Amino acid sequence: MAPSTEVFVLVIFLCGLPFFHAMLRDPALRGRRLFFLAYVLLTVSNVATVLEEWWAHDAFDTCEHLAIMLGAAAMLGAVVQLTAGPPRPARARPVDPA
Amino acid sequence: MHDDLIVSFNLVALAAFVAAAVVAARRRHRADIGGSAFVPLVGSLLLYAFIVSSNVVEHADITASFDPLEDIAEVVFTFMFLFFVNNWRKDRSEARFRALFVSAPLALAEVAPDGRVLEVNQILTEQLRQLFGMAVADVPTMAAWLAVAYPDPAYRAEVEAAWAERVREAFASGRPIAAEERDVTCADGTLRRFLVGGNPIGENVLVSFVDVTDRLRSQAETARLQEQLLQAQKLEAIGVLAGGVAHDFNNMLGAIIGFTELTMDELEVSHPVRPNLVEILTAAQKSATLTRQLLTFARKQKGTPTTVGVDRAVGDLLGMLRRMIGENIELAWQPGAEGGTVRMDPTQFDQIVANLCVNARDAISDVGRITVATSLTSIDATSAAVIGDAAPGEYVLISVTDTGCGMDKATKAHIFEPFFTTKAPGQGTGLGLATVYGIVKQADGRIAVYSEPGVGTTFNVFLPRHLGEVGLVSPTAPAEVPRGRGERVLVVEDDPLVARMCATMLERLGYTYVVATSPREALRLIDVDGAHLDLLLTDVIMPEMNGRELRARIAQVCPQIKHVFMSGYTADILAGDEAHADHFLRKPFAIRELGVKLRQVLDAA
Repeated sequence: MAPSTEVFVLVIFLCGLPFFHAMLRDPALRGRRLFFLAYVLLTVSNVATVLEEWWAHDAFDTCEHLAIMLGAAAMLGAVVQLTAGPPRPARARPVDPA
Repeated sequence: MHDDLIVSFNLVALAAFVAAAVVAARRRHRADIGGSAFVPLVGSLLLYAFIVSSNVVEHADITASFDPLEDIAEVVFTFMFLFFVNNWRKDRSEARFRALFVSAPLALAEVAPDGRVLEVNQILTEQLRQLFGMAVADVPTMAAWLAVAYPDPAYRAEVEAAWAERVREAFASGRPIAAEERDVTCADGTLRRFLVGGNPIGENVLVSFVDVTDRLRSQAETARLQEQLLQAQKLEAIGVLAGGVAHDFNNMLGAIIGFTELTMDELEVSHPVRPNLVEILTAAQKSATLTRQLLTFARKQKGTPTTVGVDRAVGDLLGMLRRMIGENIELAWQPGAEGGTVRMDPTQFDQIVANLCVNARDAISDVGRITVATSLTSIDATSAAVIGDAAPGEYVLISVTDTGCGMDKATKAHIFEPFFTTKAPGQGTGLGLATVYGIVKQADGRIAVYSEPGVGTTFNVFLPRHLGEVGLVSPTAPAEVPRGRGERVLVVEDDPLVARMCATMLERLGYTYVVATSPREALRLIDVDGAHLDLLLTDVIMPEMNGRELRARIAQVCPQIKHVFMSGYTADILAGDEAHADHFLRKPFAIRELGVKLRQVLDAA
């Protein structure tokens, strides 16, 4: 795989970090910390993907896939937190004159 | 080995991503996730599941690498995940808005630019039903609503134009729509005041309706009560001022009356100067009456309360009233309070009736009629609010009605102020109604006045009803002035003139005395010679210490010393303690009154 494409992917992930950080600051969003953690770990995996081309291939390769696994676990935890709590009643809808 | 480890990591990751997608799909109703957020969430999870799957097959040597697709998938994942978070926040914001819209404590409606009513909340639905007897479907547009709320076409056009202008300004400036109060016609024809405002939301308008009718009524009622309070406070302030002046004036009158009487006693009946002294004494006594009226208005003049039968007391006054009002005015008496009694000084009760009748007489220019009526009544909470500052309860009502010139509102506002009169100068003191006001307030009663110019006036006096036997007539004073037997009296008076007068009177009556001009001096005299003193004659209001406190201090040292208080200004120092009425001399007093009181107290057990 061409290193340039991996770098490009890494840049995309890094550019996304501040956006996610800003959007996930609302304390009412359940699981926001784990979602951000998952994204950070996936970003770390992309960093490892780039670095393995030049140094300690096996070590960074292991690091890459370990980060993916941990990111996946954080993502699962975030979705569970997001959907935790009792079932909400049918959303209160105002009277529709139509 | 290395590849096995990588494959196992990715298999775990694959399971986690798939599980997350399944959980999100099955439990999406537990979170505020709309369709616009749900699809990118699941999509991004499955996308990364695909990525980790390609890692598995690559490291397990199952197939060739998916690298180009992996890279594309990772980029797409980033954007999808971004969409998910962004739409998730929007869904949550929408859910919060909906919750607030539905449950808001004021009526709300969302209106499209073309005037269609898109949504209304529960409060507005309820108000439409209660006030207008309509369902929401009956007002599908703003135009339909305006036709219902403003039946007058001209007023409706004005409201519509003003609303359109305010909406335009709000959209141009980005600020909320300026609220405006409008009178809306309800289904039963009544008008209710609504505050109509709103906010632009995107291209729609969120309109709010607040019913302020009750608030306006409450504000008007508050303003009326505040005005009543201010009036009462004004009269109270005037009363305090008048009371203060009267108190000082009383002391001087006491000296004038006392020394004039003493001088007259020393002159023969045929002495040429005697008629002049009689005039002086008469004028001083009239002045004393005036000060008593002022003190009564100031509510400082506590009478001797007894149980007064209202019908009997008014009946006893009729003869005097008829002489007072003259022959050209008919006096009608309508008793209706059989068995009704009040607890107050009988003299003060007579003053109420007499002053009101005099006022009624003065309002009638030629011939007319004055009606005095009594009845038993009760005041409930509603009536109490109308009468003003009246406690609910049982009352005796005394009404005095005349067919005189009546009063306008401006005059009525001032009638209880002392010295206020509509008569020519010299024809009235302006204290009659002020005195009545003071007596009634002192008795915890209320006055209500009804008057129309050219028709007449009615004064309704409400006095708290008392259950008890009618009081006996108090014993009359003895014919001769009781004299002292050499008893030693301690006079405590800070006014030198009054002190000298008391000393002269005591000497004339056959008492010995010592005079102290301050409580401190009195206590020093007690320390020196307390065992030889028989009675304390003390003023009530003095600097450093009042008469009651002085008496208490002396009683600790010399309990055998009896006491008499003297004052024209009792205030609340003796208030509520009617036993002290037996030990009280009201200034100004004559030598006879002093002699009777001293003898009563000294001879008592």
